[in-house]
Amino acid sequence: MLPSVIISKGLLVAAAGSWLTSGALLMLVHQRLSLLNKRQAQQIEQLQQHQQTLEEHLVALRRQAAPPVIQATTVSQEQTVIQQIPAAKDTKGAFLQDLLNSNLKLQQDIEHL
Amino acid sequence: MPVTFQVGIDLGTSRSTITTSTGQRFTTATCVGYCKDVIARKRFGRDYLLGEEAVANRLALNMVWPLADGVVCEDDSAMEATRLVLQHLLEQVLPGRQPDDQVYAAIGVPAQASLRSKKVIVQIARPLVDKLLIVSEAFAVAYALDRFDECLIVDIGAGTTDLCRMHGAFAEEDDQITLTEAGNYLDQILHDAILQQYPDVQLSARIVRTIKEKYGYISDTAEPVTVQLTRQGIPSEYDLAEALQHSCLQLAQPISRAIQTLVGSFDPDFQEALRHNIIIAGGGSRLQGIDKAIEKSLEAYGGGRAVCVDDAEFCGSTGTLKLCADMPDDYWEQL
Repeated sequence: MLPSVIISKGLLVAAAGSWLTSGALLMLVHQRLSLLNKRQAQQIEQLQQHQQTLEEHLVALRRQAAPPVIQATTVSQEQTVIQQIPAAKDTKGAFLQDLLNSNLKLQQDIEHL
Repeated sequence: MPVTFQVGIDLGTSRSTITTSTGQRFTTATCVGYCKDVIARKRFGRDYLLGEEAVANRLALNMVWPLADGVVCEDDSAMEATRLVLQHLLEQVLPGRQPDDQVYAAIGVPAQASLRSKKVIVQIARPLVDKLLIVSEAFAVAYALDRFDECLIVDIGAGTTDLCRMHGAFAEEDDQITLTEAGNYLDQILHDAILQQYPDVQLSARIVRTIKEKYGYISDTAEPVTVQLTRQGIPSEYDLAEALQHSCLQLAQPISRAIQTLVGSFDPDFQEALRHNIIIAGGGSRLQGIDKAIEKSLEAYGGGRAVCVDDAEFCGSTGTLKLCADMPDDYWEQL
């Protein structure tokens, strides 16, 4: 004769209820976690898109703002000095052009005086 | 083979200078002394003397100082005297000039010289040179110093003080001011101040100029300046510290006002840079302490920093020569 355990009905009901509740809770937690993961994945994807857009903007702005500065930092000091000489000549050239024009105007004004 | 000479000329009220592309330079007093009588003519063997020689023998000569307020006086004697001075300058620096040789010249004029004044200079200079360029004196100083950035040139001559605001572009009329408060004005107020303090002392223009050039601006803490002067022919020593300080500040004040006018009408972002980059040139820059006097006078407008050029005598003619040398040939052809 197999040993028998006398368990009260109430206890059986309580045990079954507890098991069911735990299962339901586990299911619920699983569903919630899945939903959260899905949302997080969507958010991460959106953030990555934003980041890519901002990086593109930044590159465009740098190009617009100061391309010579970016280039100048990449050349040696000697090259930079050489590049400045034509610029100084250009300034003097503009002065001389203006001086010529003012003297030509002076000639005309003197003739009309 | 014909040679082209380039010359820079600073035709000043008191002194004129010339600098050439051959490395020659010369300065002389801008005056001509015509013999008063036959005795003087016999003594000198000529009808007139020029520059320092004329000044040294002035008692026997009728002196003509042809420039007033930086421009040639519009009378025949002044125009003839200016022509003689210019010819003298060219002969001194180009003694071996052949008839076929070309002379390209740039002449400095006050910043706000009138069209009529410029016309007179052109009329006088044209027969003496082959090509001619008229340049603002203060701009020539900036060009000599290679100062094209934000700075303010103050060229204190005998007849005029020229101010020129530099900002990396050709200086227009709005960037320049010409004042008649200059070396001669200082001589006059110093003369008056000394006579006010010591009414009986004997002064001449030469004595006053010597005192001015020797002592210049005296600061508040300076020691007494004792100068020997005569009173009815009897020499005595007089303290001129107060008269010198008062007179130099009298010159510095209108210059500071003009500086402030140019600073005040400038781009606000660069006003500070302009006020702290004041370059004093011309004969007036040799006046001891003129930079300090101007700085003191500028305190009323927020302060400033002034420095004097190293070569006051030839700075203007060096600038005009540099302009000549840099001018391309095709530009000269158009003139």
